[in-house]
Amino acid sequence: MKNSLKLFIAMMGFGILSSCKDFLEVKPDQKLVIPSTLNDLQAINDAGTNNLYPAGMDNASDDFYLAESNFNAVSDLDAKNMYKYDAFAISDFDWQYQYKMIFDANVVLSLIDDIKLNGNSEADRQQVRGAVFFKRAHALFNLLVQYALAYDTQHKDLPAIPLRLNATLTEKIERKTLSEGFNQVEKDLKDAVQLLPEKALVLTRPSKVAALGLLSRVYLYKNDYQASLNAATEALNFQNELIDYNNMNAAAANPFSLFNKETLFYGISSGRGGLLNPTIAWVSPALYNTYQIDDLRKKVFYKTVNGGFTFKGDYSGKSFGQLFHGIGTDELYLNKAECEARLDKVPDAIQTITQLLVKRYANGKYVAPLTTIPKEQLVTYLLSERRKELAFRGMLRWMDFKRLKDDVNNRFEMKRVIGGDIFTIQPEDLKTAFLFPTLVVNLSGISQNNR
Amino acid sequence: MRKFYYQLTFMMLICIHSLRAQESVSGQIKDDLTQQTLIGATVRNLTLHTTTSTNKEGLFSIAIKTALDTLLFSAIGYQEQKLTVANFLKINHVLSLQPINMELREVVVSTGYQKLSQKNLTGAFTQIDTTLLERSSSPDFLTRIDGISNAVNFDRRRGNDQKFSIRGISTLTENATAPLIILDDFPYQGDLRNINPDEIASITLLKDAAAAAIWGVGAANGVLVISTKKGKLKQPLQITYHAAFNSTTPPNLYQNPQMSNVDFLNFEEQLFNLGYFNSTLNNTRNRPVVSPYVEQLAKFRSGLMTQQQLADAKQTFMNEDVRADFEQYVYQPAQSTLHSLSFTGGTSKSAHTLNLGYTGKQNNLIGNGGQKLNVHSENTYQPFKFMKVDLGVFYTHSEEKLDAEGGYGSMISGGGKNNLYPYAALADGNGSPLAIPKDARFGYIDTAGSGKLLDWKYRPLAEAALNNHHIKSNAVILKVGAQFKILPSLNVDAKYQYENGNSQDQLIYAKNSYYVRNLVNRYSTMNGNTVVRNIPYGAIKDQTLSGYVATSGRLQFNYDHTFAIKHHLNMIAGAEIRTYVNQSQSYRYYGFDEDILTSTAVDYKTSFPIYGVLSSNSTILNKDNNEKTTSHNVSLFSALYYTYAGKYTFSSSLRRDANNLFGATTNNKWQPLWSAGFSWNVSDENFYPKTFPSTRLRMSYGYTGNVNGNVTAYTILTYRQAAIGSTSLTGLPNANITGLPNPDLKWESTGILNIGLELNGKGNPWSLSIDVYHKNSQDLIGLIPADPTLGGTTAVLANTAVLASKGIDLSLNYPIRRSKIWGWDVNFLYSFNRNEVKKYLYTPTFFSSYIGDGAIINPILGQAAYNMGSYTWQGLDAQGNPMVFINGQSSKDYASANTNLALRDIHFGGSALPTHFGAIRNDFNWKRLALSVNVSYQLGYYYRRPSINYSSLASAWNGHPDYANRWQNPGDELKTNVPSFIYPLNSTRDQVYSFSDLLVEPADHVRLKDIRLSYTMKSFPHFKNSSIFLIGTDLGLIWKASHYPTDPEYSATLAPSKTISIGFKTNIQ
Repeated sequence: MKNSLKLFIAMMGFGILSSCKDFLEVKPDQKLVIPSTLNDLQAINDAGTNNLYPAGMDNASDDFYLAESNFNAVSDLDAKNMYKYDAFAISDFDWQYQYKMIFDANVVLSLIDDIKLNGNSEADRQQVRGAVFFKRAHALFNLLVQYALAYDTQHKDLPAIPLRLNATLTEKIERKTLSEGFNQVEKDLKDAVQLLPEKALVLTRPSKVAALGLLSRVYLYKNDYQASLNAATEALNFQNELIDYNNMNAAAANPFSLFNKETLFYGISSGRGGLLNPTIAWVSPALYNTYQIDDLRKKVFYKTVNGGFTFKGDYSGKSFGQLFHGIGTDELYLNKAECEARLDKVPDAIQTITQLLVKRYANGKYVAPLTTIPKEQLVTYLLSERRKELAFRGMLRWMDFKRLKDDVNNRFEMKRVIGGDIFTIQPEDLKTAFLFPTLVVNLSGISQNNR
Repeated sequence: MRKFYYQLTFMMLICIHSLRAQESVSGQIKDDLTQQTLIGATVRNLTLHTTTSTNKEGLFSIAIKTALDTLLFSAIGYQEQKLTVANFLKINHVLSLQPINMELREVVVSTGYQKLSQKNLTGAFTQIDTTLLERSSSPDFLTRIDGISNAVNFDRRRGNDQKFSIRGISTLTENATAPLIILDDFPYQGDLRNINPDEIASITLLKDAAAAAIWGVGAANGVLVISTKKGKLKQPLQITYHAAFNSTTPPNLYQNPQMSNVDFLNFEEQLFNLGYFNSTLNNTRNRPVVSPYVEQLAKFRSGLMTQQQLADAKQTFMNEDVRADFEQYVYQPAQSTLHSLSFTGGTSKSAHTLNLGYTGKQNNLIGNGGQKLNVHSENTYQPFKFMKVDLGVFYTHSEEKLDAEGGYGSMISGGGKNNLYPYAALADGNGSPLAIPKDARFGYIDTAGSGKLLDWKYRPLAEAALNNHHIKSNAVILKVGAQFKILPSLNVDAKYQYENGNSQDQLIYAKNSYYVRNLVNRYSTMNGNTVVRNIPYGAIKDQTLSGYVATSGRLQFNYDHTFAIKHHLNMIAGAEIRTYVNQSQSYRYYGFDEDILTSTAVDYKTSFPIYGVLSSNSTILNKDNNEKTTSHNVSLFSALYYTYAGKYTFSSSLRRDANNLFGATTNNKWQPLWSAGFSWNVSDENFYPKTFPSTRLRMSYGYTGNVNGNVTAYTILTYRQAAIGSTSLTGLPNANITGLPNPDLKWESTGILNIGLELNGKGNPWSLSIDVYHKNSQDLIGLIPADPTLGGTTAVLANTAVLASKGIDLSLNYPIRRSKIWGWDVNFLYSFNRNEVKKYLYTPTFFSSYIGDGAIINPILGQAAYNMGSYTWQGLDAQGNPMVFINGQSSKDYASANTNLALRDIHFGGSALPTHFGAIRNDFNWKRLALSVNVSYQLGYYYRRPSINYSSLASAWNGHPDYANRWQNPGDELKTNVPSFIYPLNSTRDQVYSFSDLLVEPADHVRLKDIRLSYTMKSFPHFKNSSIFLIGTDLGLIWKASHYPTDPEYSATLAPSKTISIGFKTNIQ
């Protein structure tokens, strides 16, 4: 009352409305939290977006298949279309969730310079900033792999997806080229590497290692092996721990705990569509049969049910059909080995893969390739090991499918059989770039992906 | 200044005249209230039997013999006054006459910023004076204005008597439709029921832009200005006493017919035999409630009772009617007593008024009632001619007692049932409370815990005595104002007001109340043979403390000047600042001991098992909560009235608001709300025939705003529970962005065009006023589809929607006869208001969300805001299945009724609120007896009548007598439209019938609103204008369009019963 009276007098005295700026910026509802401190921004970063990673690319993965009756029982029409490689498959939610993560990141970035530190340090501010760069890059990369064609010289200057770099809701959006998209991803990740601490407090927060790991994944997708190798190597210098599957209880329903020690960054898919639900998603025999008898993963990852196999070895620590979408050290070993092989460092590659696989095979049973193995053969071997290790790992099957488009020895098509019908997809198909949500096309006027 | 000289010269002339001749006296006659001069007033010299009348300036001159001659001053509509010439000279030759009839005298309306003479108004105002307000003796003023003013409509469909609109709505947000209430100068933030109607001098409705735009962003829903009674300078002490007693008979529970007990019991039996109750009866988890007859049927099936016992039980149930028990044990006549005492008077330098009011009441539910005390004082001090100081205080104390368990329809069984079975017995033959099933079925609670738990029965009639629920509140308003005359035409006004209200809502559930016993039992666990009670067995106290503080300050310059006689200019300009802070805190004590005020701590953290696994493990309910909302508002305003030659008036207003709800972009923009108006006193023109009624034309256009608090300009976070669980893997504080930033957020604005015509009869003082308006409400907050690329969501709220309304307000006063002995006045009110959504950018995924009953705003392009979307009825098929349009086809594909419904399948039945409404009042008086009869009407709208819904009957006991008319045999489809009963039940099938256009009924009706009979007594010494009165209110429907029994105005609740009031009023001098 006193304040308002004072203000009243002040206003009357000077007749200047601008003096009431503070008066007019009082929060209308105390329960509304208008982000004002670094802790608020940190809380945005810690929100449940770790479970909003895209499900569409997993729905399209040939690691699994659905029995015809189970396919028919699925209610989500879009998920079914993704499953059978329909050219008009649309995933609204993947788009919405990834751009939500980008938007949240942009909101944090728009506020971070003016925010009150309230007992936090400048270093804390840099960490939050770094985390936001990581999250934005991660979502953007997911979108580029899902909604744009594979990265190559022919595609890189074609319009891909819109880039959102600020928090203004009224911005006019337009499609940027594939290379502009990747430039942004790389820039954000390089910034994140600079800003983030080696290790984060919890694994749902990104760290320098996670950023390097993601960078390695991004470069690998672009077939930039040297850069991918550098990033993987640097990451592994910080953190190279592997779980020795020999010490695991293979019979456990959920063999991997939450935040297991190979996890560098934790995230899971939204599971939209429910196709990956272990009650209906059977492991593709083509995948299951590649595991050798001494391969511990055969038992750790899979469970036999009614004559089929289901996946239980998810690094998410649970198996509800929301696949692990984070980054693990195992992936980095595989990235590193493949890049080494492709860069003619065959012995290095063999050494790298051996470090991983001795922990996956029964003690003493792993037999590494001989160093005399031709490079091409080694790459093929490493890719088959990659598939076995990274089975049911969020988006990676789809990413490999697209990036191997021009690798004549290793490219593959994916195939579905539903009843008597066969549906296939080739990595150069236009339909490897998912359609944009109709609402987006209608509201923004951007052109739809070609069909 | 010029006027001043003019007057001075005139005064001198009079004096000279008087001194020189002594054969005549001159003077001026004015209206006591407005101080406007009176033209054509009559002055008679009773000694000389001469007569004259005042001229255009209100001046007269009359011949006299001596200073002892008696002069009689009179004017139509004013109390005549006798004075000797000597006394007339003493009051400086200027006499003020008291108006006797509000309709005739020059009306002064208050906008809250200035008082304006009706003669020069450009806007649409409606003035409700004391005479009209006193027609009713209801304890709250809102009820009193219903039916006596046009443009005002109450929405009582759901029993809310505080929801009203002025000229319809101007927004598409349900909770932003309330008109702005001004108490004297500033917006009133308290409970409207706290205002004592006896302290109101007048109520003014500001209806169009020229009237309301001065209130800026708060005015789009119309403004209601309450002016309280004030003392006057130089007025002897007057004491007014007013007492009234109101009594309302309990509601008629039989007004809406109920499904017969035979039908209900047979239906239950049929469902039982079909196995409908099997899963419920076998449910060993939450033990859902079943009716007593189903319990009996289950016993019979398990061989625990004989066929004869079952038949006897059914016979007993058949003879019960729960409504009879409600009438006998739950309801009572509602009564209220009002006393109001007011003192008013003034000396030459100060004026005072003090109003005291007391209301005591009992509600129609036994156990509910309350009382209220009002104190209101207004004081004006005028120590110097150039300075005036006002001090005012309002104080209200009210106490409300709400012990009752609920009335018919709100006392429910729970456990899945939102009703009571029709054969429930609340008491036995001796009046002792009986138990009814609640939350869990009898079959379970009878035996649970084998005697170790607390009695688990719910006896509703015993509960009222075990609840102790009361709300106490205090509210105070302090007002200070000072006015200084800087120049003869310019004064400055400073006002400050502090308003504070606090209320304490306290509910104590006694130790042996059902609420406590049930909760304690649920949180009990058996440890061997001992019961462990995780909630202490003791009373539970819930308390909510809430309060608000509103402060307002205003500095205003008033300029009033006449140039060169013909040019009159009235201008105000000023600035205003307002703050409003509302806070509340609630908490609960377990194991509360009222005597020694102790409570027992409970463990809020542990998730306890619930007894008998009635539900999954739960923590003990923690009611701790704190809320705080703040509103800050800064405004600049100005208004101008320019009148030329008393004939042409031009008005304008300009107001700019900044508010802490609006975004920075909006606050920084200089974008005022404005209005412009013009009026023309046509009959003052020379060409206008003198015998024709006097005519005024008004026209105005401008913008008013509406603050919609549902959206904010900022990025809003919502923090979530920071515990490790399904929402958080890490237990770290985490927050979601739940409100997207909208820096462009602004008020909703309504452009209003108003054209008015006023006619006043000459000789026979009838009056007619017609206003035609068009409102265009734009920038309304509405959903718009959002590009998820921008913010990760597909719909957001933004200033995008448009609602257009048009309407007419008409009022006619016609004195059919006025003589000394008897009189008959007719007052006719008519309002038309219709709206249509002109722009709404969001369409739902499924059009089935357009189906509804118009209870709340459902924005659909091209429809009224409160619309009635229905499935298009296509009759019953040969098996009694309801058919409706689905995707253009007459269909019974109920499974697709929601997903495949096309827009063209939906039949929009029109508005769910009246589009034509008003009242006709006849006032008769014969000698000292007066009779006033008010008949109100509401036309041009629809309601959805209830009918049978088998799913709802089976699951929630919502029956309907249409059950008896259902399709039963082939061929019935020709006789009935009530679908057949099928099993398994199909709720969509029931829904397409319940929400079909078949059940949409016209709601048009005419109601005998009230009758008032009063007798004015002869004046006794010191007692003047004493009267006694008798009022009957809510006397019932005279006509309705629909032949179904529901009262359309109360379509989803019980219509109120008759109220009879008697009262007495007197003035003591």
